[in-house]
Amino acid sequence: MLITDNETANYSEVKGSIHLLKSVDSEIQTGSNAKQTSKSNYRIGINTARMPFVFGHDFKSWSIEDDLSDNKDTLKSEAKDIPTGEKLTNKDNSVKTIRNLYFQDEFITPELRTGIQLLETSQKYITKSLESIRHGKRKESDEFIMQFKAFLPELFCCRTISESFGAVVNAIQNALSNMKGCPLSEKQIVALHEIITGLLREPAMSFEKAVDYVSEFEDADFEVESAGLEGLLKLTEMIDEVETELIND
Amino acid sequence: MIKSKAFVDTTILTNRLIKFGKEKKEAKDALSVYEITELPVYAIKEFKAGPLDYVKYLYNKLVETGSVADTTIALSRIGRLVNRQQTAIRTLGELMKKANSLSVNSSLRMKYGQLAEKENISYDSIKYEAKMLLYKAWKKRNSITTKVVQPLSCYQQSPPYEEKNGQLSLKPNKCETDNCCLTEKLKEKRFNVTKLKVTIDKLPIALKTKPENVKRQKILREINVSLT
Repeated sequence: MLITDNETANYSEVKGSIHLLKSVDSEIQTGSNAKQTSKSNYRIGINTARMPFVFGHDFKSWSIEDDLSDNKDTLKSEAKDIPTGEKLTNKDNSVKTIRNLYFQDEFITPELRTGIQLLETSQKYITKSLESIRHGKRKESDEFIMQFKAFLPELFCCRTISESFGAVVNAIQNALSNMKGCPLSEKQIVALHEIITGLLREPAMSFEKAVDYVSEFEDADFEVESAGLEGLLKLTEMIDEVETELIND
Repeated sequence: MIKSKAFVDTTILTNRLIKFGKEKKEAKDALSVYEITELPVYAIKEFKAGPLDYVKYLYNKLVETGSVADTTIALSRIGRLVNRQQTAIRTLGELMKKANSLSVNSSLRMKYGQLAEKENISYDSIKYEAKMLLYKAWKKRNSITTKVVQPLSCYQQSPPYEEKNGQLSLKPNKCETDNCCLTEKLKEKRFNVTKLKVTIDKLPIALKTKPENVKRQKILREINVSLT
């Protein structure tokens, strides 16, 4: 659990994340204070895509060995791709690096890692779908969307990343389900691409921001609410109707 | 597009923002017909205290019960539904519980545990939807018409917020004073009060008995009494 590795990383690859590193710097302690750190519960958001981050982990109860044992090698090989460069030094002179911070297993929730991977793959399918429709290949375009749709249930399982993440994925799922199999228009595919890119950029965005994304997405002729919610709301309204009957009586 | 002005009331605002399918489309189409559409702040106030409050209530009930099926059953027990309706809704709730316990995506269940349980999926899904609908409606309230008019000096448009217990709140949803500043304006135009009352009285029974019209009649009666 200690952050003691003295490898370094280049910030040019992760510009937008420096503020996060600084904020983490003040919270993560090394050496003799590590025990205290391991009991901490972090919740830090970032504005940069592709960067796994410290997220709501209770280190006491979460065992990386259990959760990530089969993926450790992949993560380490990914880490090797990061060029070296500037160092970050702690108050007690122990060195922390971007590689430590982002690619140490402890700091990546399994859901976040899967979520990012699925979003990246989704983005590729949507891009292909967009290219196809722009070339007049509507069937091919629809096939790519169908392939993308297959990722949505698992993406929703990654909703522990953030409430906003869950809410946005849910809105996409409802929107596509409400299409009842009809192929998406170019405008709709563009909107889908936008929202997936937004989610990839900020998986833990504020709920207000998620509302902005969903509102824009909805403007591309999508219905983002389900029949289930409609039914429950009608049931809720019935209470008021009953109360009104009592007033009339 | 008709080159005229439309004064938008709470029903249109509600249908446009929190209703589904046909009702929503009709409201959207109706608004697009006019060049100028004006939304009075009292409609926003009424919307927040009424229809939007249902969404908040549903969300909070979901948070309280932790289950869609239990929420359905709880809703069926509130108020004075006739026995048949109550039984039908309760049965539906029980069926939902059973269906949720039976069908689970096994591969996702293996990987994600409870997060992939159908009951948890439908619960989180509906909860997110209700919260999203509420925040989205509030955000869009000022942008569905070309203008927001008739500000109320006694009413602040405060956004929804989450309380410490995770429940949503729409407070304040009333005026800061006991009497809305509109009451005084209506008193000055007693003739209009009577006209409004008569208009509602003449509505077909289905419209006349709608909750908002029943409440309107009650308030208009009170204003009339206070004037005599």
